[in-house]
Amino acid sequence: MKNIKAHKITTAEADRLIELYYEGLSTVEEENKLRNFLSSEKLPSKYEPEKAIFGFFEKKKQKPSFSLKRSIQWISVAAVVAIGFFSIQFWTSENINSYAYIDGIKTTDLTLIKRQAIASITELNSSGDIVKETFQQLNDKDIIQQQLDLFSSFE
Amino acid sequence: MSQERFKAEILPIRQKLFHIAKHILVKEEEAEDATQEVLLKLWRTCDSLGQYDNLEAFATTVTKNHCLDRLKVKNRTELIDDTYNNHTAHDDPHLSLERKNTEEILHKIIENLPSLQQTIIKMKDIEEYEVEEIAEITGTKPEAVRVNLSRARRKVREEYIKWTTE
Repeated sequence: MKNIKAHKITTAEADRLIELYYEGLSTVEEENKLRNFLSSEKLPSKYEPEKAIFGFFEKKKQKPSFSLKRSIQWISVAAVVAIGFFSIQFWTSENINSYAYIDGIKTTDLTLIKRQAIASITELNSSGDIVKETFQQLNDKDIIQQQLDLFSSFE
Repeated sequence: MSQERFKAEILPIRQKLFHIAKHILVKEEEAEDATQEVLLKLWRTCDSLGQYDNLEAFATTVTKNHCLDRLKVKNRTELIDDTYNNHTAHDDPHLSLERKNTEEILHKIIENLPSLQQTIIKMKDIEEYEVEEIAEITGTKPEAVRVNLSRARRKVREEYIKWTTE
Protein backbone atom coordinates (compact mmCIF):
# COMPACT_ATOMS: atom_id res chain seq x y z
CA MET A 1 0.00 0.00 0.00
CA LYS A 2 2.86 2.38 0.80
CA ASN A 3 4.33 1.73 -2.60
CA ILE A 4 1.12 2.67 -4.36
CA LYS A 5 0.84 5.89 -2.39
CA ALA A 6 4.43 6.78 -3.16
CA HIS A 7 3.66 6.46 -6.88
CA LYS A 8 0.60 8.67 -6.79
CA ILE A 9 0.77 11.48 -9.26
CA THR A 10 -0.09 15.13 -8.71
CA THR A 11 -3.37 16.66 -9.91
CA ALA A 12 -1.51 18.59 -12.60
CA GLU A 13 0.11 15.40 -13.86
CA ALA A 14 -3.26 13.66 -13.79
CA ASP A 15 -4.82 16.45 -15.86
CA ARG A 16 -2.05 16.13 -18.40
CA LEU A 17 -2.52 12.35 -18.61
CA ILE A 18 -6.29 12.69 -18.93
CA GLU A 19 -5.77 14.97 -21.89
CA LEU A 20 -3.41 12.43 -23.47
CA TYR A 21 -5.94 9.69 -22.73
CA TYR A 22 -8.70 11.42 -24.70
CA GLU A 23 -6.27 12.09 -27.53
CA GLY A 24 -5.51 8.37 -27.62
CA LEU A 25 -1.86 9.16 -26.96
CA SER A 26 -1.31 7.72 -23.50
CA THR A 27 0.61 4.47 -23.05
CA VAL A 28 -0.67 1.54 -20.99
CA GLU A 29 1.80 2.51 -18.29
CA GLU A 30 0.54 6.10 -18.13
CA GLU A 31 -3.01 4.84 -17.97
CA ASN A 32 -2.09 2.65 -15.03
CA LYS A 33 -0.73 5.70 -13.23
CA LEU A 34 -3.95 7.52 -13.99
CA ARG A 35 -6.06 4.62 -12.78
CA ASN A 36 -4.13 4.64 -9.56
CA PHE A 37 -4.80 8.35 -9.13
CA LEU A 38 -8.50 7.96 -9.95
CA SER A 39 -9.02 5.12 -7.47
CA SER A 40 -8.44 7.56 -4.62
CA GLU A 41 -11.35 8.16 -2.22
CA LYS A 42 -11.16 11.93 -1.95
CA LEU A 43 -11.29 13.21 -5.47
CA PRO A 44 -12.65 16.49 -6.83
CA SER A 45 -16.02 15.90 -8.51
CA LYS A 46 -14.68 17.00 -11.89
CA TYR A 47 -12.95 13.62 -12.15
CA GLU A 48 -16.22 11.73 -11.67
CA PRO A 49 -16.62 10.55 -15.31
CA GLU A 50 -13.00 9.36 -15.54
CA LYS A 51 -13.26 7.63 -12.18
CA ALA A 52 -16.35 5.76 -13.39
CA ILE A 53 -14.86 4.89 -16.78
CA PHE A 54 -11.53 3.66 -15.41
CA GLY A 55 -13.31 1.78 -12.65
CA PHE A 56 -15.54 0.11 -15.23
CA PHE A 57 -12.61 -1.04 -17.38
CA GLU A 58 -10.73 -2.23 -14.32
CA LYS A 59 -13.68 -4.42 -13.38
CA LYS A 60 -13.85 -5.80 -16.93
CA LYS A 61 -10.15 -6.66 -16.80
CA GLN A 62 -10.65 -8.87 -13.78
CA LYS A 63 -13.87 -10.55 -14.78
CA PRO A 64 -12.92 -12.90 -17.64
CA SER A 65 -9.83 -14.42 -16.03
CA PHE A 66 -11.66 -14.89 -12.74
CA SER A 67 -14.71 -16.59 -14.11
CA LEU A 68 -12.63 -18.78 -16.42
CA LYS A 69 -10.37 -19.94 -13.62
CA ARG A 70 -13.31 -20.56 -11.35
CA SER A 71 -15.33 -22.45 -13.90
CA ILE A 72 -12.36 -24.69 -14.69
CA GLN A 73 -11.98 -25.38 -10.99
CA TRP A 74 -15.65 -26.18 -10.63
CA ILE A 75 -15.67 -28.40 -13.67
CA SER A 76 -12.76 -30.43 -12.32
CA VAL A 77 -14.44 -30.75 -8.93
CA ALA A 78 -17.65 -31.86 -10.60
CA ALA A 79 -15.78 -34.35 -12.76
CA VAL A 80 -14.03 -35.92 -9.79
CA VAL A 81 -17.32 -36.19 -7.89
CA ALA A 82 -19.06 -37.70 -10.92
CA ILE A 83 -16.30 -40.23 -11.55
CA GLY A 84 -16.29 -41.20 -7.89
CA PHE A 85 -20.04 -41.59 -7.81
CA PHE A 86 -20.23 -43.70 -10.95
CA SER A 87 -17.32 -45.94 -10.02
CA ILE A 88 -18.87 -46.66 -6.62
CA GLN A 89 -22.16 -47.51 -8.31
CA PHE A 90 -20.40 -49.67 -10.88
CA TRP A 91 -18.37 -51.73 -8.43
CA THR A 92 -21.07 -52.24 -5.84
CA SER A 93 -23.73 -53.11 -8.41
CA GLU A 94 -21.46 -55.67 -10.05
CA ASN A 95 -20.75 -57.47 -6.79
CA ILE A 96 -24.42 -57.77 -5.91
CA ASN A 97 -26.02 -58.40 -9.27
CA SER A 98 -23.50 -60.45 -11.29
CA TYR A 99 -24.59 -63.99 -12.09
CA ALA A 100 -24.45 -66.58 -14.83
CA TYR A 101 -26.64 -69.39 -16.07
CA ILE A 102 -25.03 -72.82 -16.29
CA ASP A 103 -27.27 -75.35 -17.99
CA GLY A 104 -30.30 -73.20 -17.12
CA ILE A 105 -29.40 -72.84 -13.45
CA LYS A 106 -28.61 -69.39 -12.08
CA THR A 107 -25.36 -69.24 -10.12
CA THR A 108 -23.13 -66.60 -8.49
CA ASP A 109 -20.21 -68.93 -7.73
CA LEU A 110 -17.29 -67.21 -9.46
CA THR A 111 -14.91 -70.26 -9.68
CA LEU A 112 -17.64 -72.47 -11.10
CA ILE A 113 -18.53 -69.84 -13.72
CA LYS A 114 -14.89 -69.46 -14.73
CA ARG A 115 -14.41 -73.19 -15.10
CA GLN A 116 -17.54 -73.55 -17.22
CA ALA A 117 -16.61 -70.56 -19.34
CA ILE A 118 -13.12 -71.91 -20.13
CA ALA A 119 -14.58 -75.32 -20.92
CA SER A 120 -17.13 -73.86 -23.39
CA ILE A 121 -14.48 -71.71 -25.09
CA THR A 122 -12.27 -74.78 -25.72
CA GLU A 123 -15.30 -76.66 -26.97
CA LEU A 124 -16.13 -73.78 -29.33
CA ASN A 125 -12.60 -73.82 -30.71
CA SER A 126 -12.87 -77.41 -31.83
CA SER A 127 -16.43 -77.07 -33.12
CA GLY A 128 -15.25 -74.04 -35.16
CA ASP A 129 -12.78 -76.28 -36.96
CA ILE A 130 -15.50 -78.74 -37.79
CA VAL A 131 -17.68 -75.98 -39.26
CA LYS A 132 -14.79 -74.71 -41.36
CA GLU A 133 -13.98 -78.15 -42.67
CA THR A 134 -17.56 -78.80 -43.72
CA PHE A 135 -17.73 -75.48 -45.52
CA GLN A 136 -14.49 -76.07 -47.34
CA GLN A 137 -15.89 -79.30 -48.74
CA LEU A 138 -18.82 -77.45 -50.29
CA ASN A 139 -18.25 -75.07 -53.17
CA ASP A 140 -20.29 -71.92 -53.85
CA LYS A 141 -22.58 -73.63 -56.33
CA ASP A 142 -23.59 -76.23 -53.77
CA ILE A 143 -24.36 -73.58 -51.16
CA ILE A 144 -26.53 -71.60 -53.59
CA GLN A 145 -28.33 -74.75 -54.66
CA GLN A 146 -28.92 -75.67 -51.03
CA GLN A 147 -30.39 -72.25 -50.24
CA LEU A 148 -32.62 -72.34 -53.32
CA ASP A 149 -33.91 -75.77 -52.32
CA LEU A 150 -34.62 -74.46 -48.88
CA PHE A 151 -36.63 -71.49 -50.23
CA SER A 152 -38.60 -73.58 -52.69
CA SER A 153 -39.53 -75.96 -49.90
CA PHE A 154 -41.39 -73.09 -48.18
CA GLU A 155 -43.72 -72.56 -51.11
CA MET B 1 -0.92 -20.22 -35.02
CA SER B 2 1.96 -17.93 -34.25
CA GLN B 3 1.82 -14.17 -34.55
CA GLU B 4 4.57 -14.43 -37.17
CA ARG B 5 2.38 -16.65 -39.31
CA PHE B 6 -0.46 -14.18 -38.93
CA LYS B 7 1.75 -11.39 -40.20
CA ALA B 8 3.16 -13.52 -43.00
CA GLU B 9 -0.09 -15.03 -44.26
CA ILE B 10 -2.99 -12.78 -43.28
CA LEU B 11 -1.57 -9.28 -43.72
CA PRO B 12 -0.58 -9.85 -47.38
CA ILE B 13 -4.24 -10.55 -48.29
CA ARG B 14 -5.45 -7.37 -46.59
CA GLN B 15 -6.11 -5.68 -49.93
CA LYS B 16 -8.15 -8.63 -51.14
CA LEU B 17 -10.26 -8.61 -47.97
CA PHE B 18 -10.77 -4.88 -48.37
CA HIS B 19 -12.13 -5.39 -51.90
CA ILE B 20 -14.58 -8.01 -50.66
CA ALA B 21 -15.73 -5.64 -47.93
CA LYS B 22 -16.09 -2.78 -50.38
CA HIS B 23 -18.14 -4.95 -52.68
CA ILE B 24 -20.66 -5.59 -49.90
CA LEU B 25 -20.60 -2.30 -48.01
CA VAL B 26 -19.98 -0.01 -51.04
CA LYS B 27 -18.62 2.92 -49.02
CA GLU B 28 -14.82 2.97 -48.89
CA GLU B 29 -14.70 4.23 -45.31
CA GLU B 30 -16.97 1.49 -44.03
CA ALA B 31 -15.06 -1.16 -45.95
CA GLU B 32 -11.80 0.03 -44.38
CA ASP B 33 -13.31 -0.15 -40.89
CA ALA B 34 -14.71 -3.61 -41.59
CA THR B 35 -11.36 -4.83 -42.89
CA GLN B 36 -9.60 -3.66 -39.74
CA GLU B 37 -12.24 -5.31 -37.61
CA VAL B 38 -11.89 -8.61 -39.46
CA LEU B 39 -8.12 -8.51 -39.02
CA LEU B 40 -8.55 -7.87 -35.30
CA LYS B 41 -11.09 -10.66 -35.10
CA LEU B 42 -8.72 -13.06 -36.84
CA TRP B 43 -5.89 -11.92 -34.60
CA ARG B 44 -7.85 -12.64 -31.46
CA THR B 45 -8.61 -16.17 -32.65
CA CYS B 46 -4.97 -16.59 -33.68
CA ASP B 47 -4.57 -19.78 -31.65
CA SER B 48 -7.32 -21.64 -33.43
CA LEU B 49 -6.39 -20.38 -36.91
CA GLY B 50 -3.74 -23.08 -37.25
CA GLN B 51 -6.40 -25.72 -37.88
CA TYR B 52 -7.49 -24.18 -41.19
CA ASP B 53 -5.60 -25.48 -44.19
CA ASN B 54 -6.64 -22.65 -46.43
CA LEU B 55 -6.28 -19.48 -44.39
CA GLU B 56 -7.09 -17.23 -47.30
CA ALA B 57 -10.41 -18.96 -47.93
CA PHE B 58 -11.21 -18.79 -44.23
CA ALA B 59 -10.35 -15.10 -43.99
CA THR B 60 -12.50 -14.44 -47.06
CA THR B 61 -15.48 -16.17 -45.48
CA VAL B 62 -15.01 -14.28 -42.21
CA THR B 63 -14.90 -11.00 -44.13
CA LYS B 64 -18.08 -11.76 -46.06
CA ASN B 65 -20.00 -12.81 -42.96
CA HIS B 66 -18.74 -9.84 -41.00
CA CYS B 67 -19.85 -7.38 -43.67
CA LEU B 68 -23.26 -8.98 -43.98
CA ASP B 69 -23.67 -8.85 -40.20
CA ARG B 70 -22.68 -5.23 -40.31
CA LEU B 71 -25.47 -4.48 -42.72
CA LYS B 72 -27.93 -6.22 -40.40
CA VAL B 73 -26.64 -4.43 -37.30
CA LYS B 74 -26.92 -1.11 -39.07
CA ASN B 75 -30.62 -1.66 -39.63
CA ARG B 76 -31.09 -2.82 -36.07
CA THR B 77 -29.27 0.07 -34.35
CA GLU B 78 -31.41 2.51 -36.25
CA LEU B 79 -34.41 0.90 -34.56
CA ILE B 80 -32.72 0.91 -31.16
CA ASP B 81 -31.89 4.59 -31.47
CA ASP B 82 -35.55 5.33 -32.04
CA THR B 83 -36.68 3.50 -28.94
CA TYR B 84 -33.85 5.01 -26.93
CA ASN B 85 -34.91 8.51 -27.89
CA ASN B 86 -38.53 7.78 -27.05
CA HIS B 87 -37.56 6.58 -23.60
CA THR B 88 -35.47 9.58 -22.69
CA ALA B 89 -38.28 11.88 -23.73
CA HIS B 90 -40.47 10.58 -20.91
CA ASP B 91 -39.47 10.94 -17.33
CA ASP B 92 -39.66 7.29 -16.41
CA PRO B 93 -38.77 6.74 -12.71
CA HIS B 94 -37.52 3.21 -13.43
CA LEU B 95 -35.26 4.50 -16.13
CA SER B 96 -33.74 7.19 -13.95
CA LEU B 97 -33.06 4.52 -11.34
CA GLU B 98 -31.41 2.49 -14.02
CA ARG B 99 -29.36 5.49 -15.00
CA LYS B 100 -27.71 5.45 -11.63
CA ASN B 101 -26.19 2.10 -12.29
CA THR B 102 -22.79 3.21 -13.59
CA GLU B 103 -21.71 -0.16 -14.86
CA GLU B 104 -24.85 -0.72 -16.86
CA ILE B 105 -24.71 2.73 -18.38
CA LEU B 106 -21.11 2.38 -19.48
CA HIS B 107 -21.78 -1.08 -20.82
CA LYS B 108 -24.61 0.26 -22.96
CA ILE B 109 -22.60 3.25 -24.15
CA ILE B 110 -19.72 1.06 -25.28
CA GLU B 111 -22.03 -1.44 -26.96
CA ASN B 112 -23.49 1.42 -28.97
CA LEU B 113 -20.14 2.61 -30.30
CA PRO B 114 -19.35 1.87 -33.95
CA SER B 115 -17.96 -1.65 -33.92
CA LEU B 116 -14.36 -0.83 -34.90
CA GLN B 117 -14.17 1.83 -32.19
CA GLN B 118 -15.66 -0.67 -29.79
CA THR B 119 -13.03 -3.30 -30.59
CA ILE B 120 -10.19 -0.78 -30.33
CA ILE B 121 -11.29 0.71 -27.02
CA LYS B 122 -11.72 -2.79 -25.56
CA MET B 123 -8.30 -3.90 -26.77
CA LYS B 124 -6.62 -0.77 -25.42
CA ASP B 125 -8.49 -0.19 -22.16
CA ILE B 126 -9.27 -3.75 -21.12
CA GLU B 127 -6.73 -5.99 -22.84
CA GLU B 128 -3.93 -3.42 -22.58
CA TYR B 129 -2.67 -3.46 -26.16
CA GLU B 130 -0.60 -0.46 -27.22
CA VAL B 131 -1.79 1.63 -30.18
CA GLU B 132 1.25 0.54 -32.21
CA GLU B 133 0.40 -3.14 -31.68
CA ILE B 134 -3.17 -2.64 -32.86
CA ALA B 135 -1.89 -0.73 -35.89
CA GLU B 136 0.44 -3.58 -36.76
CA ILE B 137 -2.39 -6.13 -36.61
CA THR B 138 -4.78 -4.04 -38.69
CA GLY B 139 -2.11 -3.06 -41.19
CA THR B 140 -2.79 0.64 -40.62
CA LYS B 141 -0.81 3.59 -39.36
CA PRO B 142 -0.88 4.16 -35.56
CA GLU B 143 -2.47 7.53 -36.32
CA ALA B 144 -5.58 5.83 -37.72
CA VAL B 145 -5.93 3.70 -34.60
CA ARG B 146 -5.31 6.70 -32.37
CA VAL B 147 -8.08 8.69 -34.07
CA ASN B 148 -10.59 5.88 -33.59
CA LEU B 149 -9.51 5.36 -30.00
CA SER B 150 -9.77 9.07 -29.26
CA ARG B 151 -13.24 9.26 -30.80
CA ALA B 152 -14.40 6.26 -28.81
CA ARG B 153 -13.08 7.59 -25.50
CA ARG B 154 -14.53 11.08 -26.00
CA LYS B 155 -17.86 9.58 -26.98
CA VAL B 156 -17.93 7.41 -23.85
CA ARG B 157 -17.25 10.46 -21.65
CA GLU B 158 -19.78 12.63 -23.43
CA GLU B 159 -22.50 9.98 -23.30
CA TYR B 160 -21.74 9.15 -19.69
CA ILE B 161 -22.17 12.77 -18.62
CA LYS B 162 -25.36 12.98 -20.63
CA TRP B 163 -26.83 9.87 -19.01
CA THR B 164 -25.86 10.74 -15.45
CA THR B 165 -26.76 14.41 -15.29
CA GLU B 166 -30.00 14.43 -17.23
